[in-house]
Amino acid sequence: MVQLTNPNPLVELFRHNTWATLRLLDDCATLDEGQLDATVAGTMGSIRDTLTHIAGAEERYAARFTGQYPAEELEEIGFPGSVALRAMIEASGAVLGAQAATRPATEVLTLQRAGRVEQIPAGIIFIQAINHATEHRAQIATILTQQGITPPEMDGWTFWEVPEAAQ
Amino acid sequence: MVQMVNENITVELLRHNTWANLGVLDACAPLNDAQLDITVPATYGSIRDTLLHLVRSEQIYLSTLTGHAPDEPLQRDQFPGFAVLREQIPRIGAGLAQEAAQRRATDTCRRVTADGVEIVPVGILFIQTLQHSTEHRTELNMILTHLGITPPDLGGWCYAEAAETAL
Repeated sequence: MVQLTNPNPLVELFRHNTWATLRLLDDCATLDEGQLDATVAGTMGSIRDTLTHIAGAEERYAARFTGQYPAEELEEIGFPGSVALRAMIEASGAVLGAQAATRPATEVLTLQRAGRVEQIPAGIIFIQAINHATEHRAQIATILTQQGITPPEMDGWTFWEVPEAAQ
Repeated sequence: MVQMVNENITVELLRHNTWANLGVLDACAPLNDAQLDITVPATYGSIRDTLLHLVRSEQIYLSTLTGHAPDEPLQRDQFPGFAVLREQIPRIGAGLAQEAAQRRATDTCRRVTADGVEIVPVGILFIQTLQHSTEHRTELNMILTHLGITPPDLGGWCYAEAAETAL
């Protein structure tokens, strides 16, 4: 059973977020090329593209705090393979978790987005990060199910019940 | 532009969650009965059933956190109508945000399951709430797209730009 180690729920939310994305990624790593290219109307696109987008977006959310933006957005580069995605998701998750531990929601950050300079509260970036990944994981779960593949459980109850070693 | 009113980001995540729930509810409110019964394979079920399940689950999560039964419990499989759900969503959301403002992730609460009562960290309830609602909102947006209706953008960036009066 997982132990919640931090009294700050946001830190635990990001631990769950990284765990859920990795759990889904690991299941998708066993798919063949045709399955990775499958999609469903009303989702972002193929499983491959959606996984890449989740990782690329989280890299950019982390960069909004660190200022260390990637030279090229991952979506422009394309699916780098499951091993590389796993490393990226773990790295971004560690940064976001660490930021969550120290930033108040009301702290205003100055950042560039869509070619504009904006001032955005840190809380909005955390909200966007959690909501965005959860939405896209749900889309992939639907695509998997429509292909007859049972997606992994990624909810809070399962997070709590999995062995600590899986974290 | 929405204002972050609380330094506690979990509170702000739950405020966003309420805003997003209302957003998808309002997008579904104009639908006719046949449309409300539509679903997409591999999602929870019809729009009507998913909306009820989403709000009823949040009511149960709040009850688990507070230890108090809801005053007006929503009944499984009995869609109460949009007016009732629209009144319940902000009420439940305010309760969840109040709990988030006062509780640590490592605090515990009593969860009643089919197998009895278990002691659960409060942080798991917040994770479960946000994950569960976001997943089902995503499904609802997929069904809306299937109906040819542009679903609402419920992401953090859109939330940042929402009028404060929308909350």
